[in-house]
Amino acid sequence: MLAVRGLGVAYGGAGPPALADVSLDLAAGRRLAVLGESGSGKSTLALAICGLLAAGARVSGTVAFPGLAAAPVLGRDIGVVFQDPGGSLNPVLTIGEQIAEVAVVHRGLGWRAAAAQAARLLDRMRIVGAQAALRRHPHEFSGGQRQRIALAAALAADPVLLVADEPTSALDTVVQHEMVELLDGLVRERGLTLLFVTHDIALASMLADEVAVLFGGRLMEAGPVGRVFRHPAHAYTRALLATRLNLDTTVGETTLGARLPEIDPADFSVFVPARRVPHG
Amino acid sequence: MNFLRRVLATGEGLAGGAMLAVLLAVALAAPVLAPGDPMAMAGDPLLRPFQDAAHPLGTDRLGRDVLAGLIHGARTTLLVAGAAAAAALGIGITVGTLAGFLGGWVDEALMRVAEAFQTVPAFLLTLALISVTGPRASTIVLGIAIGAWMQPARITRAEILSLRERDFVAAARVIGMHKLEIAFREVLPNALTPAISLAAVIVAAAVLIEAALSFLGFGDPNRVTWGSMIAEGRAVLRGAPFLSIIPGMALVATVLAVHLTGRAVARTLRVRPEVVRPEVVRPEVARPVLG
Amino acid sequence: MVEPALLEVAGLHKRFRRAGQDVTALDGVDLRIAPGTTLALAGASGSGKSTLARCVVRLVAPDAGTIRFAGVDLLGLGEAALRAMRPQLQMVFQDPSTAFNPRATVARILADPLRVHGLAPRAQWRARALALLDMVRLPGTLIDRQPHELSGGQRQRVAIARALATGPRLVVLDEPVSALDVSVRAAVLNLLLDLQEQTGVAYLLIAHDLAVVRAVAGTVAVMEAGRIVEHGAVDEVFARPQATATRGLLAAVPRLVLREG
Repeated sequence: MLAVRGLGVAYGGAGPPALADVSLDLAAGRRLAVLGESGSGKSTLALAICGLLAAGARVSGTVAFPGLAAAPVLGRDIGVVFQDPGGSLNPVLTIGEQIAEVAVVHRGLGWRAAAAQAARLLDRMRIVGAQAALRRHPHEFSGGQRQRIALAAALAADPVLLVADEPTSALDTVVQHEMVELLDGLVRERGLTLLFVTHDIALASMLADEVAVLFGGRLMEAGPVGRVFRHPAHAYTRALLATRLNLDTTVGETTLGARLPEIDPADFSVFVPARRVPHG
Repeated sequence: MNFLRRVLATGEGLAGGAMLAVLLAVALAAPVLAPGDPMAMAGDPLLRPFQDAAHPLGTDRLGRDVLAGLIHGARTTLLVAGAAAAAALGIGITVGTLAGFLGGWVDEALMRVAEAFQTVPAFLLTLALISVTGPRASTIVLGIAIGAWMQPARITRAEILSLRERDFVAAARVIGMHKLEIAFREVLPNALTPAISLAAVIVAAAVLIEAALSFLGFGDPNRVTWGSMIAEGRAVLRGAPFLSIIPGMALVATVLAVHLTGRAVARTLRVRPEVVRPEVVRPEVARPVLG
Repeated sequence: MVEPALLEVAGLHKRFRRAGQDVTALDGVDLRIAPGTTLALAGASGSGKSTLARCVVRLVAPDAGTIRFAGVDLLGLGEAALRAMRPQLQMVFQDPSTAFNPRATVARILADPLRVHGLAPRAQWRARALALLDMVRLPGTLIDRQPHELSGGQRQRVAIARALATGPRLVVLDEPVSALDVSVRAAVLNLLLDLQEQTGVAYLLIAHDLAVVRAVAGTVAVMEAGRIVEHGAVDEVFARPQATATRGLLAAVPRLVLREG
C-alpha cells in the first residue's frame, strides 16, 4: 500500500532536517504506529505522506503507493485526522455540511445521499441523536465528540488509507479509551490501512501491528509491535519502555524516598536517581 | 534591530523605508537645505522649473521658491501627521486596553463613547475645531487624533479580550499582580501588533487630511504646506501647472512611502509558526538500528 | 495528635452559564489537605476538578461554600489581604507553552513574584532567579531566554520555579506533565517529589491519568459531575475501587499490550 524510501524533509534556514533518510513499508490492511516525541519528525512524516507539507519544505526521497492504480487524492483515497479537532473542523459550517461535503466532492454523491451517509457515520461514531446533530456546529460538541466528527469526515469518502496524527493526545484517558476502541472497530470493519502518529507506547501497542520509532528525524527501529516492545533493539526504545508511567509504579508518599526511573539524555540509559534534595 | 533588518529585507520595506528616510532627512535638515524664510519672495515670479539654478523647481506667483516650499512643507506635513498619528494611537491603545481588560461598565461606557466619535468624520471634526480656535497646526493635530483613535481602540480591545483568557494572565493573578499592572505590563505589549499595523493607515490619512485643510485655506497660515502650495497653484493652473503638480507629487510619494512601510511592518510582525523544540538534542548518539 | 489541615474546603458550589445553559461544575465538594502531603484530584474532563483548583487559588469565585487556608477564610479576604496571602498559595498550569508572557525572559518571569511581594531588593533578583533555576535543575544559561526558546520540559520546570519563588505552603499542580514528552515526565515528577521533601510544600494535583496520580500522590479524591465520589489512600482506592467513576478511570489507563511476534 505505502512505500517510503529515503524520505528527507528540510525547511529553509539553519538547523537539522525535520526528517532524514526514513524508509518504511505498510501493507494494505495493516496498522502502523509512528512513535516519537517532540522534534522526532513524526508529524512531518505523516504530513509528507499526505502531501500536506508547507510550501517551503524541501523533500528528498520518495513516497509511493504501489497498491493504488493512480496517485492518491487526499480526502478520497486518504482520510486524515489531526490532533486538534478545533483546527480541522470549520467553526462556521454545520457538521452535517462538513461531513457530507467530503462525499459530494470526492465521490460525486448527491447532497441528500451524502447527508444520509453523514447521519449513518455519526451514528457509528456513537454521537447521540445523529440526525439532529447534523445541523449543529462544532463548538456545540465536546473535544472527544469533535474528534469523532473529524474521524467521520475523514471516512466519508471511503478512503483506503487512514492517517491519524496524535488522534488521542488532546483527550483525557476515558475518552482516549473510547476513541481507541472506535478506531480499532472501524479499521477492522472497513479493511482500512491505518497509519497513526503517537507518543504513547501503550496506545501503539493496543492499536498497531507494526511500529516505527523516530528520534531526531531518523528512524531508530521498526518492526512488528510485539517484537519491538518485547525485545527492543535500540537503547531509545528500551528507555521509553523502562520509564513509562503506569499503575504499578509505587513512589511518592507510598514509598518514601523512592523515585521514578529517568532517561539519561547522553546515551539513553535508564537510571533511578537517589533522592536529590536540591539546595536553594 | 533584528526587526528593522527583517522589515528592510522585504522589497516593500526597503522602498518605503528608503523614501521615508529621505523625507525625514529633508524635513530635519530643512533650515540647512533651504535657509531663510520659504515664504519670502526669493526671485522673479512664475519662473519655470529647471531654468534657473538658484530656483531649480521654479517660483510661484509671488516669486517664492518652490523647492524651499517643498522642503519646509515636508517638515510641516511630517510633524502634523506624525503627531496626530502618535496621539491617535496613544489614546486609542490606552482606551482599548482599559476597555478590554476591565470589562463590565467601563468597557460599555468606553465603547459607546467610541461609537459616538465614529459618527463624525475626522475631517469635519477638525474643521469644526478650527472654526473655534482658528487655523493652527496644533488644532489640526488634535482634530485628526480625536477623529482617528477609535479604530486602534477597537482593535487593541479585541486583542486584549483574546489574550485575557490565556494562562499567563491567570498566572499573573495567582502571583498577585495588580489588575492594571497585568493589563499594561503583561498583556498590552503582546496586543500591540494589530494597532501598529494601523499606524501606517493613520499617518497616511493624516497627511491627506492636513493637505486638504491647507488646500481649503484652513491650514496654519504661518507655515508653508504642500496643501497650501497646491491651492496657490490653482489660480494659474493653466499657465503654470507645475506649481500644483510638484507638491502633489510630493504628497503621493509620501503616502506611498507610508503605505509600503506599513505593509512591510505588518508582514514582518505576522506570527511565525512555533518551532517545536525537542527535549533531547544528541543526534550523534542516536544511530538507527537496521532490521 | 491530628495536625490541623492546611487546606479545608467545605460545601463548594459553582454553576456556570455556558451557551445559554446552566452547567453545574461543583456540586457540594468537601476536602482537606494536610501540610506537606499530596492530594490528587482525579476525574474525566468535565468532572469539575479544574474548577475546584481554580476556586482554591481564587481565580474563580464559588457560589457557595468555604475555603480555609492555614486557618484563614480565603473567600472572605479583600483584595489587599488576598494579595498578601498569595505568596503562600501558588499554581503550576497545564500547558507550559501558554503559561508565560511570550515576551518575557526567564529572568523576568522568576523575578516577578519577588518584585510583586517585595521579597528581595532589585539588585538581588538575578541572583535569586539563578538560584531558582538551580533548584529545578536547569542551567543558568537559560536565564535570558524567552519561553519559546525552551523545550516543553524546560518551560514546565521554569513554571515550577516560579511557583516556588515565594516559598508557598501549597502548590496547585494542574496536569503538570500531560503536555510534556513522555521521556521527561519522570524527571519532572521526581523533581516535584524532591522539592516537596526539601521544602515541605503540599501539593494539590489535578490529573486525568491515574498513572501520574500513582507516581506522586498519597491520597486521591475521585470526582464525577462536580462531586467527590471516592476518597482515600491511593493504594487502597486503586486496589479496591468503590465508585463507577473510579473503575472507569482505572480501566481507561493505557496498558502496554505485549503480543507475541
